[in-house]
Amino acid sequence: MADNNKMMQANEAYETLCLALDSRGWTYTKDEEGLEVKAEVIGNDIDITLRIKVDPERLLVSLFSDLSYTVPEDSRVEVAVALAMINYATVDGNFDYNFSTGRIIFRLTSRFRESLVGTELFNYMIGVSCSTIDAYNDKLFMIGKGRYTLEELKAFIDE
Amino acid sequence: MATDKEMKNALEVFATLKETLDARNWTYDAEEDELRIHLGVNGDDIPMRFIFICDAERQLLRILSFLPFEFDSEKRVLAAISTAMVNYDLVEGSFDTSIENGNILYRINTSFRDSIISVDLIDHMIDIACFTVDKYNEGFYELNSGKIGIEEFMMKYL
Repeated sequence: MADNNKMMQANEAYETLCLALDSRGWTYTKDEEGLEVKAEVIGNDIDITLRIKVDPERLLVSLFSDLSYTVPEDSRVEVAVALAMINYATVDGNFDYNFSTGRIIFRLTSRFRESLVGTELFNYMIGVSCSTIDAYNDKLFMIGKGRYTLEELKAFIDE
Repeated sequence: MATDKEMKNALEVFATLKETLDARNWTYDAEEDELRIHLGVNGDDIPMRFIFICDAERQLLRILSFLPFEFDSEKRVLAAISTAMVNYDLVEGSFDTSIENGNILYRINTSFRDSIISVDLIDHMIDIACFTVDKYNEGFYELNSGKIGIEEFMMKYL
């Protein structure tokens, strides 16, 4: 359970997060008690859902994006290899993968413990997440359907 | 290429990083020009090496730890599956594995863009990195060496 000092830091971070979203002119839903926001972003191929949560216990802000499909069972090994290739080439954030269910979630985390964080930090998190998810969500979908190969993915990553 | 302001931010973070490590009385090698620090930590089973990078262009403090072995070529699909299983359980940081060369590394970043980060924040990142690498490195090693299979790996950690 977060103490008063941690709660204060978390509330400040949440306020700054909302300011960042407002400055983008974004429409989003707020869960002030849960210190969470949700937003939908139009992607190049597949729309992106963002959930950004401020964790008052760990003093973290985490951005999650559930990809809107699950990987069919017969493609799960290939998608695991694809995600390893993508994550190895990614500097910030990573795609988490539940091998049992085929669910893929992009996760990017930053911290504000005893620190001053500005709106540009949240703008960065949102920008890099949307860009990374948008680059790969369609390719992962097509790998799952057997319509895109790991060699094609490697060529795209190496570009 | 980092702007002057970005470089100034990165230099401040590098100074805070060194302050954090000095307060722990840790020995380290600093590459001042590259804003990088290398150090070793004794683990429960396998020694750990860490690289700290103050990335001025990206405005990221990055901590990387390469595990001291590569996955054999016939074990790389297993590496991809096992790192995915571990990462799904992690709150902070992630393990990456290279299908091409079998490298496996842990990475944890924090952005310092438009921000002032504290010694406490860096301390926390170091603790998380050390704990996480120490927890999982032996399991990955045993998986690669064939001492355990994926089911035992899952039972050990998940």
